[in-house]
Amino acid sequence: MKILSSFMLLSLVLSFGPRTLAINLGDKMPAVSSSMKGIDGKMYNLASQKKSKGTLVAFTCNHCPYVKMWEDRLAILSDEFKDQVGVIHINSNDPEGNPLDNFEGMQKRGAHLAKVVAEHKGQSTKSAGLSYPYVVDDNSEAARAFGAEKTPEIFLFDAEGILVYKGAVDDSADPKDVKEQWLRMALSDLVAGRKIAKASTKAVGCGIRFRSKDS
Amino acid sequence: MLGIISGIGFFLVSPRVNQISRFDLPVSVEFVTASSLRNKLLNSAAPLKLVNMWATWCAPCVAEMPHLLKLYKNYRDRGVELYLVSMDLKEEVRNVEKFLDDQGVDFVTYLKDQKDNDFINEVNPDWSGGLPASMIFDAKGEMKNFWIGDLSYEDFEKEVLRYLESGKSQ
Repeated sequence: MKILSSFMLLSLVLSFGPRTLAINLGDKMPAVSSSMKGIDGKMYNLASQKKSKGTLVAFTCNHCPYVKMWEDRLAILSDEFKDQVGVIHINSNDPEGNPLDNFEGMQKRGAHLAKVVAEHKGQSTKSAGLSYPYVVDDNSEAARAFGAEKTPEIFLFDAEGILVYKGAVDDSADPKDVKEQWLRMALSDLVAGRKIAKASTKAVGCGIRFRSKDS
Repeated sequence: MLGIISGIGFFLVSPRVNQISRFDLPVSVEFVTASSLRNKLLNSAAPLKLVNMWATWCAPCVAEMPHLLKLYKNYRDRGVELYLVSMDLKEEVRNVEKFLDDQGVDFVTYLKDQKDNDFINEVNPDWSGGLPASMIFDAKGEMKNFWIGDLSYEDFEKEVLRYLESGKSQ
């Protein structure tokens, strides 16, 4: 890394098209005016998801292979911390791009993940329901407001609504290669009132296919 | 956002060789780290090296691939070298080779053999990890351009011509 940095002589920025600017560590949670429909049929407002220690916002979807490799760990973590940190998983993808990302697909993924969590906890999977909202961002307003680019991409806010962790769930999509559980570490630090040791990592995953603003 | 970053590059060319893959396909996929790619690039004297990070699961990358291959076909005689660097998991090498074979690729390509965040940060600390991501290196191995997002054939051609022409005047 040092070698590469030493090679960099200048940096300019151009643009081939409009892109949203992502929020950074220390920024306030963006305002999202639209309520979003959850797979349980209820409407959810982003700002009201906060719990005593903060809010975990995960941009995710149904079709992405990288989401599928991380989703079990993310669901288990979300369930584990949900009583102290409000959790909301958001699908901002336009299903026109991939029908698997439609609302029915979300309900199927949610049902699958509810079973994963129940099995992890040694509970019956028969009547398991997802213990946190998985909602559809039907005009991609939330993704644009956050500057989210990929799925899965994590934004963790403290009790004051300040972004304290941003990035990936952990250091490897492949579960057998995970060495550092970045989101677990961040959640543990947040709940314990400690400074987040590793606050920024890079999310890797499928690009969000944005819906039109007026959809 | 298209970041233009000048510096010594680190990705090397894909010489058009008929190397036989481990699956008896004309295409070949070589495992690389950011460091080994950098060394390959530094050893190339080609006037322009185009590096593209992509993945089979990345829809814009898949859509962009024919443009890249057409560009390489049209400009390799002018010294343009193409480095396709797959960000797929190592275990997916067979799928990567099959995909590239279906696209008609018959030269050496690369597949990341390093943790995502380590690779991304070593390639370019300013890279968010978004795909596809592309870079242009000049004959001296200096990175002249870096951008995230898929381009049309016409936009790729403009970039290549811009640096081929500027290289002549140096």
